[in-house]
Amino acid sequence: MSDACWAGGAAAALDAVRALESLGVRLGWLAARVERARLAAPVCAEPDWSGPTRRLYDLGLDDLHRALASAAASIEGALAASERAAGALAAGLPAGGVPGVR
Amino acid sequence: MSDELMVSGGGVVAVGTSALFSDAERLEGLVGELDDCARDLAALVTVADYAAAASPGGLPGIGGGADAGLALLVRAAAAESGRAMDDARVLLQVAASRSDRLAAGLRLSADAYGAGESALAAVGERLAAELGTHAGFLVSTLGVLLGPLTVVGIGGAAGLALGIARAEAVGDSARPHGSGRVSAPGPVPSRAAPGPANQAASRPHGMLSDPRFVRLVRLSVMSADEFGTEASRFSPALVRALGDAGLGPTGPGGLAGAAGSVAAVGGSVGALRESPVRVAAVGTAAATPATGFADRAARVPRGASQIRIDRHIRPGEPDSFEVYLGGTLDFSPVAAREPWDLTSNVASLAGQESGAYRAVVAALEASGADARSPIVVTGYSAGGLVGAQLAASGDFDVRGLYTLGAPSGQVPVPASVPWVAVEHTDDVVPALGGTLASQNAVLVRRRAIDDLPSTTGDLSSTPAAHFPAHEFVRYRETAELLDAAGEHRAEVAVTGFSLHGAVAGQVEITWYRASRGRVPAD
Repeated sequence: MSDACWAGGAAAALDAVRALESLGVRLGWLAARVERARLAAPVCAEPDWSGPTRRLYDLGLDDLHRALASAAASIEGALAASERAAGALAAGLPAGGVPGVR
Repeated sequence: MSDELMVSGGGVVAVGTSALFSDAERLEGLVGELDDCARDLAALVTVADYAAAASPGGLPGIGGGADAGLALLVRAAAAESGRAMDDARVLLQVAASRSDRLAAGLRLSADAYGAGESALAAVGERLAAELGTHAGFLVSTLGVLLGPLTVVGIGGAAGLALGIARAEAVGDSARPHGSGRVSAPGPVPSRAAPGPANQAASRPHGMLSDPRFVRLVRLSVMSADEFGTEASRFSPALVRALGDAGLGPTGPGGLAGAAGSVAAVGGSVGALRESPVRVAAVGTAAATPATGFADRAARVPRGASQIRIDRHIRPGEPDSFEVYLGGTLDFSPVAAREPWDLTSNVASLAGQESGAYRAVVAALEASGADARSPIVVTGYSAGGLVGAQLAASGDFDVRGLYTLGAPSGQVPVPASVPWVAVEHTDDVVPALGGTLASQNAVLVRRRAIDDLPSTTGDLSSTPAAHFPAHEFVRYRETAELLDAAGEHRAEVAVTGFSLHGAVAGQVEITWYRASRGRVPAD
């Protein structure tokens, strides 16, 4: 492999590391937004309301909270995986950085 | 007090608590936010795809040999991230859809509940009309025997109008100045804390604040036509009085006809006679445009002035106006100097141009408003009745009407005028106006007083004890609840109310004092 080819490949790897790091930051923001949405969602109907409609409403709220919790968990998983990928890529790069690439 | 608001409008009735309306609003807000998050995730998946494309040959900088394993690891982790993001995106879309359905379900169940209540109310009105016919027949038969005493029946109707004045006297008693008259016009002194109002709930008010009694009054008012038709069959005195007032068999019926009869009979004994009015500006100030229901309620004059007009000066556009009208100030059946009086109440209920109405028109003209000026009217009690008449007249470009405890249900306000009517179910005053004729108005109801103390207290010592649900402070509480409820129809209406003021560069307040001239002699 020529030096030029090597340097080009390393630059691409560095781009990928940066992209993955940026992805991690944006996933962190999204995780915070979803958490805020989860907290903003109603938890249960007020105590004075009763009857079958109230029960259906409560079941619907449970479903909503489950979906939000699963979404939040998936985003956390995506965040962890992207950090792992970024870390692995960064480890494969030369310790002193890529010549000609800042 | 109860925080349960019942909201109707556009032909449907919604019943629900403020908390449920708030839930619906929060869920609707979530739909947009979760959809946005899902869209952002879809964009981020492409980043992960780029990294997943890293392969032993795809990222030559990593090199071969042992580095090939590293590249595989990177590829697998990036792919895992992409899959997780895709899962999250789908879950967020599911959550958004569920939020949307839950919000719609909340509003639908409230509407369905209200539709049932509306049907029951219609049945009640029909029954009352039939009862009115039978009662009218009975009275007319007695009238043949008793002759002039039939007029006593009209006196009963006069009692309804007197009820407005009596109840408003109670509303005024909550003012800082006991007489309801202050030395200088100005903003409402301070927002009433719930405390005193809650303390007032312990006053003995008995039957007059019982929602069942209030419904009975409303039904009775709506059946006045059937009662009057039957009663007038055999009563020459009544027919003569109605004929003199132009309210004979071909004249207006229903509530307007009954009130017209009251005015006609009252006029024959020197009471309830209209007179010329004049207005004078008695104070000015600068302000900010009104926002929300509570803010508008707080601007209703409660002192020496009866009319407040906020003029919105809009750069490059015609001025717009917000008009605020207070309730009755003089409760005598004989007109004196005060046009916010019983005479105006009866004339307004009869659909005539009362002294108060003419004073408002004069004040608007003095403010520079003309037929093309956008106007929003807020009125409490009799002030709301006058405001509804203004909207119904077609003489001004009324773009919004907001009434609090007003007996204005039967005023033919055009459907094109957004109207929010706030009524307490235990307040007899709006019931005196009958049921709300407009199907497009947003009707907001609330029971102002939860407990119903016995009538064993000393009613005569405190007039306020009779009609606590009509107190202005309680309507201001309801306005605050309405702001907080986030009910869609009310929000749409109040957004429309604020539309013209929002672009105002400057707002000028003018308080007007109206007074009657000499009552014309016969």
